[in-house]
Amino acid sequence: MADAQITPEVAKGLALRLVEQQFQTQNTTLSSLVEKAINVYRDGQAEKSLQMLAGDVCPYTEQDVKGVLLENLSSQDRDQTTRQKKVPVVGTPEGDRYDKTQKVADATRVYLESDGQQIPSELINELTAYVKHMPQYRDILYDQNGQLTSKANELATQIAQNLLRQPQYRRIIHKLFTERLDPKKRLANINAYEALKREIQALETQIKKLPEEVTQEQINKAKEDLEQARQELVKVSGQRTQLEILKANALQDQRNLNRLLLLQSELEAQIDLQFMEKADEDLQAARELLLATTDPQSKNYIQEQINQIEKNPNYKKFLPSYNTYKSTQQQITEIQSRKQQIKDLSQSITQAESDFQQKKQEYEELLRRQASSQTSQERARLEAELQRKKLELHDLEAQLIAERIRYASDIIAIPAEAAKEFFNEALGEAAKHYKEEAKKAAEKEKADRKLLEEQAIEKLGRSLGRREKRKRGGETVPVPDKKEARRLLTLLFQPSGLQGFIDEVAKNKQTLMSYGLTEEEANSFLAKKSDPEFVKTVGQNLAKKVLCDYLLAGGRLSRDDIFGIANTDWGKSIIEDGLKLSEEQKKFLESQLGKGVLKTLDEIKGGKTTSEWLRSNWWKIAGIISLVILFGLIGSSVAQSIPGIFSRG
Amino acid sequence: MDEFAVRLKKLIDGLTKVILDSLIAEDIDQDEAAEISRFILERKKTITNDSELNNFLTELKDRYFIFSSFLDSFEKESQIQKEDAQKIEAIKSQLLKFSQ
Repeated sequence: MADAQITPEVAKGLALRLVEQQFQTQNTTLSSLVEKAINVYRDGQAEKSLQMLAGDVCPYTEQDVKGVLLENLSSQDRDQTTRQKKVPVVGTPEGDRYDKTQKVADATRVYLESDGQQIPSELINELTAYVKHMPQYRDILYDQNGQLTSKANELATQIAQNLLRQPQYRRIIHKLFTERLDPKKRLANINAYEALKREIQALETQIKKLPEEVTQEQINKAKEDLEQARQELVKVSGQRTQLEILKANALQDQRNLNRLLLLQSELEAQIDLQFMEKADEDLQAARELLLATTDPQSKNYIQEQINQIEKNPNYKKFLPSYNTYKSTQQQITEIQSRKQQIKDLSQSITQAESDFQQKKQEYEELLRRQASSQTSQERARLEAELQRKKLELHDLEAQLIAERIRYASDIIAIPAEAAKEFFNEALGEAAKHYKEEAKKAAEKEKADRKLLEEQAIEKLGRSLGRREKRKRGGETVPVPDKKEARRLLTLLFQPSGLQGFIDEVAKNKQTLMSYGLTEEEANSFLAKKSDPEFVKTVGQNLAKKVLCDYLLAGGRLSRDDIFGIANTDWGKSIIEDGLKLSEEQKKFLESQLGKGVLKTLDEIKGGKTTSEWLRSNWWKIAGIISLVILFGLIGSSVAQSIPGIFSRG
Repeated sequence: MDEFAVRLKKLIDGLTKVILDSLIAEDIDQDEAAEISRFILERKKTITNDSELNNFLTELKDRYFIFSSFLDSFEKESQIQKEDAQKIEAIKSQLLKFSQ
């Protein structure tokens, strides 16, 4: 079999396949958990990746946890080598906070990493403290006086340990832990704070670089120095002439000096200089002694000594040359002294001139800087900005501290919050169940109540305005009772209308029970009698029945009754219903008998308007209404028999 | 590792990749990913043969939409492999008969 050839098409396919295998993560911000799961998957550990996502494996290392805690809880500078923030100072509130948080976080990490097999004491302690405050355990941990019982600690620890062994609890901890200790997590204000800090540093550097501001004191001092230099210059200026004279003779002096030096060396060769100088010194000393001595004998002795030296042949021989030598030497010294004088004078004059120029420049520079206020304006602006930024930084720092405290609390509270969530989830299920049960019960109760109400209304409808009549077979039937119906009708015409009527009918339980209602039905009716909607609907229906019963029992309506009916809502409704039914029945009869057969009622009006006609024919309309109502109320039952009566077959 | 275990591992690899891809694409959130991962890990422990594996795949497809296209291609691939294996077996037996 030939080997597969890598054609361009195959290469393209391979390249595409390779590209597809990569995760497209560049444009998405993933949580650290997902990033870690991806990395583990890339390392060929798909199952571990799943376990991380499922919350069975802790995704963060000890270093990750330490790093995120330092980032978010320490206000210290960064270590130059590791670039990680330094640990907060021990013994400070920040240090204590970090220490406690670090312990809880690491304990949680160990717990998660061991899949719940290792439960560090810090974790148990945190959870035990929370359990002691849980209302669910109040009954078993506290006595009647609200004090913890002697076994409360032991019990709370047991509860905490049991909780920590629950897989669901561990998953909740995993969720909270991965969210809150995400190595990428940063406090909301930290970036703004650090940026502001950098801005402040830059401003401070800028201010430092600004030239010093000139004060009046500096100017005064410079002026004094300049004056002093000027005086010094004036002083040396007087020596300038002397220098010029000296300089004018300098050339001659140099020539003389050369000559004298030559002569001096010639004389030195001619005489015994050592001897002559010794003799000269001795003579000088003797003469001085002679002058100082008063004793004649001593004077004589000294004089003798002097004479002895002067008579020395060598002395006599060398004396003229020696004298010349001495005079030459003196001239040489004089010339050299003048040369030194030139040098010294030149130097002091140059120095004075230079000092003066320098002091003058300094003074002028200070004056120039003072004249230009640019520097001080710039400094003022920068310092104001610096001050503003420092205040901002102060505010941000306060917010940052609050955030740090909150973050630390969030970490320390992980075991407690997980317990809370665990119980909420567990209780949530129970609550849901009970809620559904309660809903069903409420629905059933509502349906039962409705049924009771309907039964009560139905019974009232049957007995209101009626009396029992015994038939031949002993059976009793309700028949309209004119007197009772009239009493109720009178109630209906009262201003209290339907409400007054219902209040009377349902005065109390006994009244209702007297109409044949059971106690339960009576109670359900009484419960609704204040509901306006109920009063309107039920009252209207009962009123129709009462009116109908009254008319059926041979009752008659007076003029006032008719206007009373027409003025009440229930009365209008009765008329509308009756007319509607009457119209329907009329249409039915017309269809049965042919058009125009039932026009008698219309002709009765004799072409007058309804109001005029009503005023003059009230007694007629009473009869019509009676008919209409009767037709309306009993129409349906009558109508069923009409087709049979009028059938042509 | 036997052939079944290899197939199961391949399946888990594929499912994990689908979950991670879906997380990146924000088709699911982290809570959903946790739930799906837990479901897979729990069910994986109980799968010992092809029939259980097929049930698992069906259930997975019904429960989580993200796997539908991956599982379709996985099933197709498995089917092809199975058919290939059957064909090879048939050829082998024919060759055996022929040699006899």
